[in-house]
Amino acid sequence: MSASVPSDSSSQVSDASHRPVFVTTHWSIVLAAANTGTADAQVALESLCRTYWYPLYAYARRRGQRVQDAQDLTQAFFARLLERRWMADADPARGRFRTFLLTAMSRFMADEWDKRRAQKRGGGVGHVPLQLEDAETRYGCEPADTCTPEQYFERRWALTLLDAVLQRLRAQYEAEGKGKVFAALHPSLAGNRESPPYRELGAQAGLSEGAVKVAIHRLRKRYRSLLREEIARTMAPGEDVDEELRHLFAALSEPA
Amino acid sequence: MDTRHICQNCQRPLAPDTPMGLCPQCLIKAGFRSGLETGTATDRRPGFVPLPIEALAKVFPQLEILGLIGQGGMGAVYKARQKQLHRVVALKILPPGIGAERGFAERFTREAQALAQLNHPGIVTLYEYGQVQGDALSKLDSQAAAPNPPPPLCFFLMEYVDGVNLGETLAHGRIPPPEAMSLVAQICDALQFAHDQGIVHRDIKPENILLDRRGRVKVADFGLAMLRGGETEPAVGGGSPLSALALTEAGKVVGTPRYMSPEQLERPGRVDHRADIYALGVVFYQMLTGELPGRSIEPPSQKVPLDVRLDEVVLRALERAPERRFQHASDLKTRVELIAGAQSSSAQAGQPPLASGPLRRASRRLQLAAALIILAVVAGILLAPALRDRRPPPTLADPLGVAIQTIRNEIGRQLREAGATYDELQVTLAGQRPNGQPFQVSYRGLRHFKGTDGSTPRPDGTFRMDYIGAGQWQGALAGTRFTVSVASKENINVPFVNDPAVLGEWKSVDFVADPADFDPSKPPTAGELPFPGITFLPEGKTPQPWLTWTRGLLIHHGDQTASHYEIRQVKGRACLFLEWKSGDFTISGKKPHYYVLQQNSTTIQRSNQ
Repeated sequence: MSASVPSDSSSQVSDASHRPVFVTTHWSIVLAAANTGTADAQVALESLCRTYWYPLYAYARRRGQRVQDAQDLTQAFFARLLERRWMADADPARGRFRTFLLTAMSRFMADEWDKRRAQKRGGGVGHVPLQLEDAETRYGCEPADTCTPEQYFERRWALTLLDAVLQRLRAQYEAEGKGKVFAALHPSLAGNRESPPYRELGAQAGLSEGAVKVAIHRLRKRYRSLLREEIARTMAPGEDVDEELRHLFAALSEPA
Repeated sequence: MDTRHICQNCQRPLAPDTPMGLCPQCLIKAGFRSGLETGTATDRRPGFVPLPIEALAKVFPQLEILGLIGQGGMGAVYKARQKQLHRVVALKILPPGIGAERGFAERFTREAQALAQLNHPGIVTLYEYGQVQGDALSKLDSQAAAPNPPPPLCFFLMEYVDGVNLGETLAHGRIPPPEAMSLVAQICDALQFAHDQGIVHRDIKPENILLDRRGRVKVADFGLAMLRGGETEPAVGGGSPLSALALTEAGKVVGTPRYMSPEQLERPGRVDHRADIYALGVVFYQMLTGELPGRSIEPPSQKVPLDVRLDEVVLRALERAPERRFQHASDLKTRVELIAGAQSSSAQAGQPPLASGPLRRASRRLQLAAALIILAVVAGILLAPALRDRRPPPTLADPLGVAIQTIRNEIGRQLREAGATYDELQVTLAGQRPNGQPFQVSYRGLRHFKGTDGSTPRPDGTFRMDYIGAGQWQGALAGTRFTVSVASKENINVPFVNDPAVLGEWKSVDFVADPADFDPSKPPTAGELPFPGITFLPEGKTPQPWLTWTRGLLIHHGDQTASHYEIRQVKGRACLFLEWKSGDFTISGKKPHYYVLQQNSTTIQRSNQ
């Protein structure tokens, strides 16, 4: 159950002559449109939610919510988010989507306990299809460990992001008729130094031995570009992709 | 953790939930911009562009801005001239977003003050620092729609170095070994000086090593990495650990990946000056071979004709485990100088000259001498006749004091690595004089360390300690027995049982914005906890349920939660207040909640999840 791929993730950020350019990364659009709520911003927000809802569900479960409650909470949270009720409160100058999401969710959960309200399924829930039925199956397969919900969320976030990027990369290769190449060569993305000999890979990929090295290089390059793009999508203006990468690395390094 | 597979690349176990079966950490690593590429368009920091000179000139009327020198992750650097002093300086402007980060102002001031102390010929001197209002710049910010006033602009005024940086030099190829050794020796001087002041650079890389026209090294950007939110060193002596913690954002990794030590990537909260030594090792390797070390580090002498003794130096600096590296930059320098033939004394590996030059100078280099002296103590050769308590740093004239200092440092380090928490460290050293008479010397010192429980420190071969209960360790160092007592001084009015059992079950009573407002006589409003129950454990006892509150600040996960607890007596009842702040987002109108809990029963039991 992978995240679907939005086709509109353009993110030209700057041009070579260093002129200030309008930022078009998704989260930046959302932040910039805080009060006005343009259609672009709505689309951007939905796209982000579609990709990153699962870490929140896992977080809710990790916080001790029962399955049904976690489902309801996640559903209601996103409905509320998409109704843009909190965007006005978000500080537009800083903060990335990941931290916003976690903060907003924990506040939301605290508020819900404050008011002890019966969960209302918000209107317009159809905007973001959350595959909640499968979510629990997915959650059940996760390794049980002793980290906190926040650590759990961070780790899940990183894995979700990587998954989305890999799926997108695969889809691109398949669309170009190079599905076999991706299937054979994708382990090289993890920098695997001890991969099978190029001749063998070439046979699997339908490439000559010499072409394998080039193909691997191109694949890695495209992967890196997609990964950085995806991260940039969730950044606010003034934020650094490399810093987020380091953060994600650290999140994955937490003892489980 | 289910470990069905191991990643071929990094040897870490693979959990079953990895994307496409690939190691997530290696996947992330593959995403870093490599040092020499310019990166794709998406790498540019959105919204941050170097400011045009006219705008800068308005903000700094006392300077004549001469031009933009460079631009990097930490901001833009301009060449400027101070109008009054006619002095050419370098003006560094940090990216605008930085000033608005939580805790930044304190870090900024503290770091700058520390940097201003670094007055050394090998370190780029900091003249001034501060913040200016960037009103004139708001129109240039691409996010001009922001209703908030533009954040202040942080700047540093530094020594201007007329020359190149090492990165530019290396782009043209290797550096001949004699020059490389000379450069490394100078860098070690600078590093040791800074380390002695308690400052770790954290971002040693060729771009930060400047060479002036006379070939002298100047290390730049000391401590600036900390401004991005890296964790500071544990408070040395003064300064409460709580305030130090309040400003850290543990979990954030700062540095340049290629030069970062393994611990900087994996445990950024536990990095010390030895990370600089690792980075220097990478740079040294690069200087000698023209390349960066790969995953399996090939000794430089196999790539390039070199004195093989240099291999040992480089490889030791590049050891994965910090305790296996050189422990001081000055040690590295001593080795390099030996190999360079600067000294005529014996150049056998591992035998530093005791009586000659380098060791007589700075007292900090006594660690090396101390190791020898301790062995000598055992042999009964060098015992000083008078035994007395000495405060660090002791001199060569007091070998026992040196021994104690060494042991104390070692213990502190080992305890720290094992995650011990303590307030007082007492070292007692007992042994035998040459005439057979026993002696005993004590040292007591105060240290604040954060961590988990006090488990047995790892033995490292020459130094072993055994936990014998209630904060006591005993051990032997080259045959000399010693005892270490670790005492914890904590003041809390509520009885706090310091044993492995759980403190009790706590049920939620209320949420308040300020603990002072809490009135236990009123009926509770909240009812149920948002989580199934808090188990309140003394620090870090394992196994830990997912919700464990430690004393003082709970180091947050990623950059999310910063939570702490207090136990207060309110109207005669012990109440546990938990504060939970999340992230760097403040959703306006909501103050942080305090969850108020009241002890439900007096039986000690574990709550069920």
